[in-house]
Order: sequence, then structure tokens, then C-alpha cells
Amino acid sequence: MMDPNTVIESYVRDVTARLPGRDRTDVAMELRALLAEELAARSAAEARPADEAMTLALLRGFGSPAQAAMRYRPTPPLLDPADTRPFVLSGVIGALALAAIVPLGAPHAPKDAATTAILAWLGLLVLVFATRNWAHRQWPSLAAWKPRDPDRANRAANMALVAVIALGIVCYGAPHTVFALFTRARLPPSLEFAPQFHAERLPWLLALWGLTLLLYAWVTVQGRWRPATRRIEAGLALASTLVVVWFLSDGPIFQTGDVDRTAKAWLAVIAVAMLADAAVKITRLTRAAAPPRRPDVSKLAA
Amino acid sequence: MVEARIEPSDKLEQELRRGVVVLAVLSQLREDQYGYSLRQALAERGMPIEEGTLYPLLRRLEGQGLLRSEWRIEDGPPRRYYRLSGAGDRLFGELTASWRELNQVMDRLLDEGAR
Repeated sequence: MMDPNTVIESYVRDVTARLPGRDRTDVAMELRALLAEELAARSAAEARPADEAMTLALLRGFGSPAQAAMRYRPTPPLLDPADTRPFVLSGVIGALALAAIVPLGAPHAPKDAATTAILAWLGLLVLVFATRNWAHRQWPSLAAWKPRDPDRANRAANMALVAVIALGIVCYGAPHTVFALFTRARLPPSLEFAPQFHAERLPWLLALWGLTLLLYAWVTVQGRWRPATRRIEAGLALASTLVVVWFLSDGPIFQTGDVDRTAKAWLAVIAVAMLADAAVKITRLTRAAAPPRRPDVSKLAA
Repeated sequence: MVEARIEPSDKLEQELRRGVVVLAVLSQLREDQYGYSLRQALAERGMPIEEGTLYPLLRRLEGQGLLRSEWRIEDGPPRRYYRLSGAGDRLFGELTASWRELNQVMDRLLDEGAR
């Protein structure tokens, strides 16, 4: 049997240990006094001396030390409950993607590389969502909802995309020149494209990239996406995916066997991402073609 | 079966009461009170508040500048007495006006619903 004062003291210690140092002494003094008074009142009401069971019953009503400390000094949640769905979705999709991609893209990596990558991804997600939640609390205007016009072109993003595509065309179209420009050396033979790939297959991808570049440049100038440009965008995305799948299935890309195998593994990963992107764009097109039914206003008025 | 129907209503009633706890506490702190005496005063007037809710609430309201407090030793152990600060007094006036307005609106809504 514990002495009631010892029980109260233990509880007060556990509550205040969870509070900032500057509050501890004061809260402890007050809580100790109040609990003693509550216990004395309970003892008087029950006409018997306070014991351990009575003290524990009182403290159970007060809540666990963690709950009591939380009421003294509420701490905001690490993650916003409103973010639960996107957080879980990002976690699950990212983990599944990493479980599939890591063994494919890095075949010589240690066995637990996928587990490490998944844990790193989950840690990164917690960090990103917690930082976002903190920023929204600090600057509520950041969290304010803003209407978004899905057909309005994001000029800065489009320009960045045009630059990236142009860079890709130059790097893949003239690898010798780019390599010499940055390293002042000749392209190592291990990084040489297979002649047949370079002559027959690569030009198709470069041509599609060129058309995509022109499309994004055109939309940037226009400032808006139209149904026709959306259809062309989806068609180019699908065609580029099919060309990459063709690269995977038909002959070597690089002259050196090891380089070719690694490149194809990564290209397979990229093909999956491209396929997902094309699927999103095609789905958006089909949704736009069948707009949601709206109520008949004239019937409502009648 | 009966419990399943009672539990949500208990929860909703708790939610209702939670909304008025601050106003009830402020109403009793126009004069000095320490935690236990305040809880007794509220319970006697039909507003029992759990100690685990009330005592931390007093500290939070003081942290927000709505209450001021001091330790006193009178006929018993040292006790921390609370009282409305200037800001607390102003807030009490505002919340009282809001409560009365809300009460009128709710009365109208409930009367209409009962008809």
C-alpha cells in the first residue's frame, strides 16, 4: 500500500516532467495543493481516511500524466489531421514504387536497400508535412484556399520544361559535343550509343521531344491550354512512352553490355513514370469530354 | 443496443458544455477564487467541471493574460487565487453579449422546431 501523498507526488512529478522547465515548480505546487484538497473532500464525503485506491480513483479522473500535461500546455499536432489522406496515400504509393524500382534500378545494391529507401521516404514525408503544418500555423495566409483555373498555363513552369527538353535534345542528339564542352575530353567508348540505336531509333524520340518543346512554347505564348493542345499533349506523351518501350524491347542502346543493362533498368523505371503521366493526361481528356451533369435550373425554379 | 444510442448523445452534450466552460469560469472570477473553491462554486450553481479540465484551463487563461493570480497563505495550505484581469473583464463582457444573442437565436430556432 502506498501512502496517498506518495501517489500524488509521483503523479505531480510525471505531469510536470512533460512541461517546460519554467512552468514546472509553479504547476507542481498548485497541482499538489489542489489534489490534496480534492482528496480531503473525497475522504470527508466517503467518511473514511484517504488510501491508495481512493487517490488512484481521483487521479484517474484527472487523466493520465500525459493528458494532464497536454491540458496545461497544449502542443499542436505534428501533422495536420486534414493531411491524413494525402500523407497515407503518398506513403503507400511511394513505398510500393520504391519496393519495385530499387531492385530494378540498382541491381547490385545491398538486399536491404529497398527497405532503407522506403524508411527514408517515410521520414522525408513526415518532415515535409510537419514543416508545411508548422508554416501554415505561422503564416495562416499560406493555407488560404485559392481558386485554380486548370486551363491557365503556368508560364514559368512551361518555360522551365522547354529548357529541360531543349537540354535533353542537345545532350542525347550530340553527346560528343556536350561531353567535350564540359570535360574537354572525348566521350569514353563505354558511353557511346549503339550505332543502330543512334541511327534508327533515337531520332524518333528526339523528334517527339522537339514537337513537345514546340507545344509547350506555343502554350506559354498563348497563356492557356485549349482542348486541341491538351489532345496533342496527351498524344505526344503516349507516343514518347511507346518509343521508350520500343527502346527497351529492341536491341542495345549502348555499345558496352554493363552500361546497356543499367541504362535499360533505369529506362524501365522511367517508362513506368511516363506511362503513369500519359494515363493521367488521357484520363483528364476523357473527363473533360464528359462534363459532370448539372441540375436543370429551369426545372428547379418550376 | 441502448448504450450505443446513449453514447453519442453524451458526447454531443459534452461538446455543448465545453463551449460554455470558459464563459462559466470567467463569470465566477470577478472575485478571487482558488481552483478548488471555483470548482465548488460552479458545481453548486449546476455547472460541474472536471478537475482535470478546470485546473489546467485556469493556467491557460492566465497565460493568455485573461486572469491574474497570486499565492496566498490564509487559514490553510498555500493557495493560488485567480481573478479576472482587465483584458479578461473585457472578454467576459463580449462573451456574455455573444452568449445572450446566441441564446435568443437558439430559443427562436428551438421554438420554431417544436411547432
